[in-house]
Amino acid sequence: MQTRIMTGELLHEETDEALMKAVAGKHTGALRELMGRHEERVRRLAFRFTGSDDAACDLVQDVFFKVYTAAASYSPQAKFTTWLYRITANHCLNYIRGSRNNPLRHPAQPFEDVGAAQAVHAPGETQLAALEKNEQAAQVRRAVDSLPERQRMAILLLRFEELSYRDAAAALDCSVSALEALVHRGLETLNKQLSDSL
Amino acid sequence: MPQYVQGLLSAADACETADHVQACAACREELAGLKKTWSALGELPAPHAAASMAPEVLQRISDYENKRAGTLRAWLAPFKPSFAGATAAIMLAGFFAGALISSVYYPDNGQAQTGTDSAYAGILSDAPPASFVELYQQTAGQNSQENAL
Repeated sequence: MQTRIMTGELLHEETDEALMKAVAGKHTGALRELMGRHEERVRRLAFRFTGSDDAACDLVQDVFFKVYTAAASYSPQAKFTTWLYRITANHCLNYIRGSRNNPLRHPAQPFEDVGAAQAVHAPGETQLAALEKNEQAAQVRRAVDSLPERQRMAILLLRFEELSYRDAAAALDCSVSALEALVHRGLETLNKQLSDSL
Repeated sequence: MPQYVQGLLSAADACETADHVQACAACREELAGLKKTWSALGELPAPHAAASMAPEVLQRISDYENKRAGTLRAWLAPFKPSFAGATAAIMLAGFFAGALISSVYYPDNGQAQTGTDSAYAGILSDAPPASFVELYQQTAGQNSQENAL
């Protein structure tokens, strides 16, 4: 199997874990295959966490570069996606902490831009409905942005990436009960902030 | 409660929660709020479509590997054959120069050494038989004879 990967044969048939073994052996073709499979989920999470397309692109690069340099430390017993989410969560949290010191670094996109892009493309919707939807999206974005970073990450992992509590806890490097507390507090805050508009 | 909203509870736990919610107005209200919030989160937009970042990542990896290889080359540079040959030549030249200077400045080096050994031999004459000192004296004596010849 390893020989097949090294010769570039049928990479798409290999499991993520087998590809990671090849990446640890400096096989960039295997990394490209992994990016093809998982780049979108990293971009999605990074975008929803930061609210910026540019930041999401930077984070995708950082995350997969880290996957390459840390490949030797990956244990095939662990599910690759859990490990990847852990790296992504760490980079996102570090990014936000770094942005506090450098507010000019990829500020979140204006809500109008984010919503407008969707409003234009939504089929069968009146202009008014699109604007209302846009406004609601902006309120949700503001509410999510106001959450402490770990609460925000916990909720995004569960709501959009549909991870189990166990995998989300592993991604955030905490216990399941600690994750439950994060989610509970985060949802409580969101509920209070959005109760008027919902 | 959040796990109930997500549908992550087991059938038994879900039934128990549903029963409780029906009987408890406060929990019913909380559950309704949570469902709305959970659903509203779906309004968060997805990222715009973008090209894969794979070329940028692979370029970064290539730069990283080149830099690492460069660092290793720089570290190994002093051990190149040409450098080792030059170092050996300088050391040999120094050795021969030292020997030459020594023979010019101390032409009777062997005589003086013999004399010194004799002086020490007098001091150490009380050494017990078969000791290291006696062995030294025998060796020194042999050297003196060879020098005399």
